Amino acid sequence: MTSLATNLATSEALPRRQSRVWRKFRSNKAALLGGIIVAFFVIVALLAPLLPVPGPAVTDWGAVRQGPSAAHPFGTDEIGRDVLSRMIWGARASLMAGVVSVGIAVLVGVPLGVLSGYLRGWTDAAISRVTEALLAAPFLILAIALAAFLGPSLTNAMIAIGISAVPIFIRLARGQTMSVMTEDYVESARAVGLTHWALITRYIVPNIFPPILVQGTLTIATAIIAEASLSFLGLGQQPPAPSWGSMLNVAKNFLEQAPWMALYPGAAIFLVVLGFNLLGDGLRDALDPRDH
Amino acid sequence: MTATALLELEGLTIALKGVDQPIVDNVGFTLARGETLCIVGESGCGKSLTSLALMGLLQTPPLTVTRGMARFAGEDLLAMPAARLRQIRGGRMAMIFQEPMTSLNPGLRIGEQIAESVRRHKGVGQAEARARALEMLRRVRIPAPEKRLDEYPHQLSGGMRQRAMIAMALANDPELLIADEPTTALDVTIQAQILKLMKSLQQETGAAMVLITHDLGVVAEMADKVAVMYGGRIIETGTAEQVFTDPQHPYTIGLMSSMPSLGARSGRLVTVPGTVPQPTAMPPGCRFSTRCPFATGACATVPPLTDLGAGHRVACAHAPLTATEAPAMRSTGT
Repeated sequence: MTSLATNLATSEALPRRQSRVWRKFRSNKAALLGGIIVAFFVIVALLAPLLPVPGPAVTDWGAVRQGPSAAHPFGTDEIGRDVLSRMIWGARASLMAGVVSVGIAVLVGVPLGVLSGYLRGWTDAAISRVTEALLAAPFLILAIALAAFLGPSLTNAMIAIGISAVPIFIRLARGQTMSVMTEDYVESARAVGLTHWALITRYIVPNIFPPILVQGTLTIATAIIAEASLSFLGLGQQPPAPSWGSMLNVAKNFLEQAPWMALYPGAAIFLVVLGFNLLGDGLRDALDPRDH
Repeated sequence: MTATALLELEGLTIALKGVDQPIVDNVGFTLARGETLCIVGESGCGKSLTSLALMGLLQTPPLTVTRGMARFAGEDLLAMPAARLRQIRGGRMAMIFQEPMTSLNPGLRIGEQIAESVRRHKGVGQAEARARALEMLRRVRIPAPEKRLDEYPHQLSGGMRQRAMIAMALANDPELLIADEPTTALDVTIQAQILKLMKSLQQETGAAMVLITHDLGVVAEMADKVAVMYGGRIIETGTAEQVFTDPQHPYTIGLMSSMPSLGARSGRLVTVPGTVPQPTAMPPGCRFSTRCPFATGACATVPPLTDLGAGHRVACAHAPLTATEAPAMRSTGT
């Protein structure tokens, strides 16, 4: 959400382009669907305290592992907690994990990548070698290792996922910076004698923003899966606080007796990830400069 | 070497990594205030590299200035620290680029881009810099300058963008203006307007100008002095009149006769045979010798740039041409 907000701020500066991007985005049904799905989950997560559902940790011993009913539309879990309520509050954990960890990755990765692409030479060599070392370990394995090292909590899981995603953004920002550096307007800005700082903040960063926005959106989907995986393994959100991943972990023991306990969190993860992927793909198509 | 020289370039030599021979070799010229020097030549002859080297904008690596001195108002541009160069660049020395369509930052308003450079070099505040930007847009005769100030590059036509680029270049009253094919990307009617504008602004400000072009029509229009480059070397230089009325180098003669003109022409338009050799395959000695129909054994050594009198200098073993040679060369057009 941080990246979306920043985009709104910069795209305001590009009136005609923005409307063209918006027109293209709107005519893309899949992207629009993705946007609606994401918006739905975001609204639900934000409104969680106001919705007329029981608290996520409230147990009802009279209704343990009950199927969907009027009182509990999504059923109850093994200690009688309302699955719908836990789903809604779990959305907060998932979305927050997605957005915060990608925020960390962007804030760390983009400056390093821009620096790497701008300065080149030994700075680039040093940053690139570290990036490659990080990329050598699979994303999820790295996240699990880091989360285990930091200790189990949602905050640490977000940090672990964020660090694991940093190399993606270093690479992207580095490549984009190198390509923007060859643009004529950067050369003419250098001919005007601008300082490095002005060149980077006013000429490079705004022009590498669209691909980073797209990558950020797609990475949120990956980060949500990673958070669910970590929580499933007990390395993320700690009980009794709800998370889709930890709900699935418990639900796997009752698959035959109470399939709804697994069905809804599983479907929610699927939908949110689908939503972010459709949204990211749509943004990529809409921001594609080749069609302008 | 007059006392009033603003820019004295001597022995500029640029090497490209992996290429033995320098790709710009021993290029030099002097330029006085208010004077216009046109550097002419085909693509790849080193004319753009020469101007980029003056601005300190060469891509290093792979390019490096291996030798040379460029005295600009007493300071050597090629030897000064980067920070000092950034102060001069855009301030006392400015550049206009070839591609107005891509040389403006698409994310910044026109006014901001001009104001940015003014603030950087004049140390003035936002409001003053903006006022200066507006004044410059007026001076380059952009229609509705108040409106253009807050527009983005994509909202302007090519001609208007080049005017904006000129406004940006002239905003800090530079003493030296380097223009790298400023009209190549524009259509013909706009070209004439832009050249006229540049000329009149130059007269107003008294700036010296290095104009890089491959268009001899532009040269005839603008130049006080001409330097013809081939294969990274200046092969002929002099006043515009000397070079146009009495070209001495076979390549210059070829260029002049390959220029289409209005009116009836007898026979085909003359062309210079062959193409410029790759930098890796430059012949030793005179670099034009592989394409020159008059090449002899003497052309295997590098011909010095010899003064034929009154500052008209030519690097050719045959120069000065005798009364019989000249018409022969001109009719074959090399």
